[in-house]
Amino acid sequence: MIRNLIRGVVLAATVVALGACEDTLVVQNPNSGDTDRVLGTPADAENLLGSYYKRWSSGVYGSTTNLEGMANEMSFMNYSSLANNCQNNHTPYTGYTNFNSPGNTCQGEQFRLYSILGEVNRVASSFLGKLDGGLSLGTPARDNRARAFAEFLSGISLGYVAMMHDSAAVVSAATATADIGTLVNYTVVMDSALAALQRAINATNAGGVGANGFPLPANWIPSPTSFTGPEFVRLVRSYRARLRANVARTPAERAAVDWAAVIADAQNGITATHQITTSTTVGPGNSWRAQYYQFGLWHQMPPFFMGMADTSGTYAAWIAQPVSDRGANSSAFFMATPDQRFPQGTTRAAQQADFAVSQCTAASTICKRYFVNRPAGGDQFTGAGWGLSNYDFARFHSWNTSGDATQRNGATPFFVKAELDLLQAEGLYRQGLFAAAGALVNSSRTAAFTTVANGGGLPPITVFDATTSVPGGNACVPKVPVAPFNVVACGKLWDALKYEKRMETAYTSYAPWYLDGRGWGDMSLGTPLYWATPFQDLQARGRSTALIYGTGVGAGNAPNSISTTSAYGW
Amino acid sequence: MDGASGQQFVVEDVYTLSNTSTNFAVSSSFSSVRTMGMLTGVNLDYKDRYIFDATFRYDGSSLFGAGNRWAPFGRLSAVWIASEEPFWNVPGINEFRIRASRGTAGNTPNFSAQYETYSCAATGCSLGQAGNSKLKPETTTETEVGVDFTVLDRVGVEVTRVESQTVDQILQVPTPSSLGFSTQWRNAGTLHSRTLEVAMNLPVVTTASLQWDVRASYDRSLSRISKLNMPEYFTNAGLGAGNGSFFLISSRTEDDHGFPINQIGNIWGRAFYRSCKQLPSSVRASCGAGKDYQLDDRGFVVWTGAGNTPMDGITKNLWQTKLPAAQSPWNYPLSFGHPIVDRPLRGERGEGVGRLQVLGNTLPDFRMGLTNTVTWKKFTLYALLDGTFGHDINNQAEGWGIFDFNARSMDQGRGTGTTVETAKPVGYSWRAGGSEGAGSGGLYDILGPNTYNVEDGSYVKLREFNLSYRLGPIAGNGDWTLALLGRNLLTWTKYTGLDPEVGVSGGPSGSGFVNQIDAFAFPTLRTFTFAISTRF
Repeated sequence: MIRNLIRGVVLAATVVALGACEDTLVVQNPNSGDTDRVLGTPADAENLLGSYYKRWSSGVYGSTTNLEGMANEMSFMNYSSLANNCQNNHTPYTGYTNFNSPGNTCQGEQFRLYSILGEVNRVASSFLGKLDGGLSLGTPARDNRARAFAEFLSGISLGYVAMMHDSAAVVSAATATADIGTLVNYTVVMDSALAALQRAINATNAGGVGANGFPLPANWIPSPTSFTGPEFVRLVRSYRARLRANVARTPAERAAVDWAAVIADAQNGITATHQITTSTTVGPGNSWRAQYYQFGLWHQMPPFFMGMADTSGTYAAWIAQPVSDRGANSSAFFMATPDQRFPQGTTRAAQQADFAVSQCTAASTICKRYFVNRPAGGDQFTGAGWGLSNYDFARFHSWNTSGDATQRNGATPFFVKAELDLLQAEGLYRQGLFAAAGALVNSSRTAAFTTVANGGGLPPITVFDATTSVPGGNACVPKVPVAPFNVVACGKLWDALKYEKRMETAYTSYAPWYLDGRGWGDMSLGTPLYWATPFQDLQARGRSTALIYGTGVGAGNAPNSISTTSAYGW
Repeated sequence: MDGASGQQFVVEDVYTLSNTSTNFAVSSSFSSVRTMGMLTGVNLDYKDRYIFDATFRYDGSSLFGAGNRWAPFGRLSAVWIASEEPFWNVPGINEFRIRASRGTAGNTPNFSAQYETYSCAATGCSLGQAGNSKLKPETTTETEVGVDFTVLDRVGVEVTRVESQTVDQILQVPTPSSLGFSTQWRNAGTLHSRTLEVAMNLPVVTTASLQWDVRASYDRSLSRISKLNMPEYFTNAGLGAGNGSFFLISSRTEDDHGFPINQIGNIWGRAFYRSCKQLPSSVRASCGAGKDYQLDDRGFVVWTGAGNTPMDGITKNLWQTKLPAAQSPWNYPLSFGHPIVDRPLRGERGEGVGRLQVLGNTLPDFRMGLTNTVTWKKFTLYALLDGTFGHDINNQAEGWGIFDFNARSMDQGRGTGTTVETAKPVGYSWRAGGSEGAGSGGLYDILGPNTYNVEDGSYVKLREFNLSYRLGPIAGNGDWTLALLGRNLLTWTKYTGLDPEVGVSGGPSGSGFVNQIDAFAFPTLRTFTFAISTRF
């Protein structure tokens, strides 16, 4: 009996002793912080938040493994027959799909923006949750600055995902850290994005007492601009205008956009082109922009939209041919135009002499033209003939070769003022305010090249309505295809607006022609209008493979996911 | 400090980090793992023929979350030496023992598995993996039975069969983007494994001056996921390029191209049609000599159009010819003479996309080893042959070779035997045009695994060869031996890469044995060693 008692005591003591060892087995990870530690002190939390604009930028612009290459191909902004980044399987007229099956060759491209922006929104939301929970960075002014920045990050993250994908989970400051949320429609995601941007504006305007309010620390958004409170609000409103308009997938959705809100934001947006300061070592960068200077296979300008500038008759002859005959026999498209954004001259040699990329390789140089007639020997004739031309895009060649001092390091446009002006113009046009819209179209249309800016140098539009052709007679710009779409005619104010926006926004931001083109109904028939929620996210959520679909034509893809109208008949 | 690097030496031939001038980088990490435990056991040996063994252990580890750091494990085993029984009278069987055991063991995750991680660099911070404070050991319960016996006092045989089940398998699983963290280590599955091992010792010759001993071994293992506590998902195989959906973690038991889907090591990728039989039944009748689809000289089914042959590409100027999507059974354009990707037919779900399917398995069907030791007078010869059979390798180096236009397999220059009829355009192997892009960029396929670059990796190697001569004492001192040793001297394989012994560490599996990708790993070295040794 006593022996059993002793055994029991020993056993109990052993268990108690082992229980006490629990603390001995607690080890902290010295190699990486966790959320509690990273956000544990005000300074650390603020530092992390401040670094996340770069992370957002990395998700959007940090790699060519992204949707942008496909979107630019689909919207006739770029032509490349390369398989890289799924360009060659997103060539219009081939009945292509935005694949979403596991293992598809575009899986990396279709996931990057979605995954990284989900992370950015989570970090921003966690930070906001900490603020709501009592975290203070020291002063109300500093708190509001950080709150405004976090809401901005949340807004542009959710907003970009809503523009490109059909659904996402919206997490916010009130969402528990382990809560993954449920997938909601892109319109709901965009509503959340716009609301976050409004809260960013509110927090900025709230100001607050104490030190370390606005401007933002210079490394939060690396830029030549100092983001004072008002300047930051202008940036936020500019993004909000872009997101509000560009989330539309179809002409009907675009028409239903709250254009009054877009106009208000545009009128109170950036007053000059917003630039970021890129860095090849610490970011942010712009991967695709660097690629558009690779002559040949990576990039050439297809004639569809660019050709509208032609006054020589080449574009008219090109349009008169069936698509399959365009560019046949490796005949690259050559055109002549009074639009000063293109090389001037009526022969290829003259255009090459007028402007070569070698003229804008010095640091911090404004290139004379946006487009270049590439040097002889640089032409590429692989792929579809209709994608071939003599032209490449070269507007940012100085940045690509020399930056402010070294290659791709320095200020480069990130949100051009013309985009905002033309968003406003579109809103005004849709409201029937043609004169006001026309004045904004004229702004870049008539601007002449200077050492600090350039523009079309075209004659101004003077008759402001929806039916009068742009001036110039036979030399008018733009000339657009008209029914039965094998002939061209001088465009109207609406055509001029769209042409102007394409010329001014080409390669300036994320897939600008794609986002505008789908809302304007300008894509070729059958073009996928968005990307499905990436399969990687769906499988992590336990969705059956049977419920994973792509977009575009073909069995198993989402219904109503392709363009069914084509304003210019292609 | 884990490592440091720099570039551009300042002074030629001075190979120190301090002599580098740019791109300095330093990495470091620190891990502290604490373990505690207690162990108790009992052994019982009765009459030298009934042997029992029992152990119990209670282990604690800092690698798990609070509340899950301690776990009990135990093992019971028994051996019955039947040949020691008085009744034993089996002619020729001198020694016979039966053994059985059943026990549990715990496996631990890597150091950081339980923690939330952030990755911070000069470019800023990003989230790594989500933490898991509920992570607990994966527990393997193993049942082993075996028999050992000796025949005619010469031949020793050991046969062992092991069944094991690992519950709470620790897997790094993907998480939804909205979580912020991209992965999390979880106790996510149950793994069932079965192993058979056979070993045999045979003293072939035993005389005073000559001994020849042979030892042979054979083993095979099969592992399948029998339960997954989360949805199935694809994982990579440790590389950034071309292998994002290499493995499927699934508990589905049905077959895909002869492989149970839940089998560990299945390689998922795309297939090119290699015979008319592989074509969908509705297309099969159009395949054969003189028909629309024919087999080319490299063994791929290609579209030629009726009346043409795959040899007519140049002579009839057909290489740019396409079968439009509207006329293609796959609703996808086909290029003349190009391999055709297996994809759904028109109207089938997922049309246009190369069908992901099991192409092979990275784990061997079985392995064998054969050791010979021959001693004649003062000479001793030792040779080890080992072989691995029935496993597949993703020959990514071939893909890179195609990409860079330097794959020997695609060399069509003088002396390669290529004719006007058999010459191929670049798109055949490299990147087909826009219309043939989905699911294939030619055989290159953007480095994705496919039936061209996934190969049988079976091999036999003369792993070791050792010839020694015992000199004995020299001038009354020592006991000297001369030896010539060679390793990895010969390889017999049909694998077309440099060396079938490949593997990439990293990725969710973390094992080069599983990640059978040939991605420019340095081949196993062939070495020769001459040795003089002595004992005093």
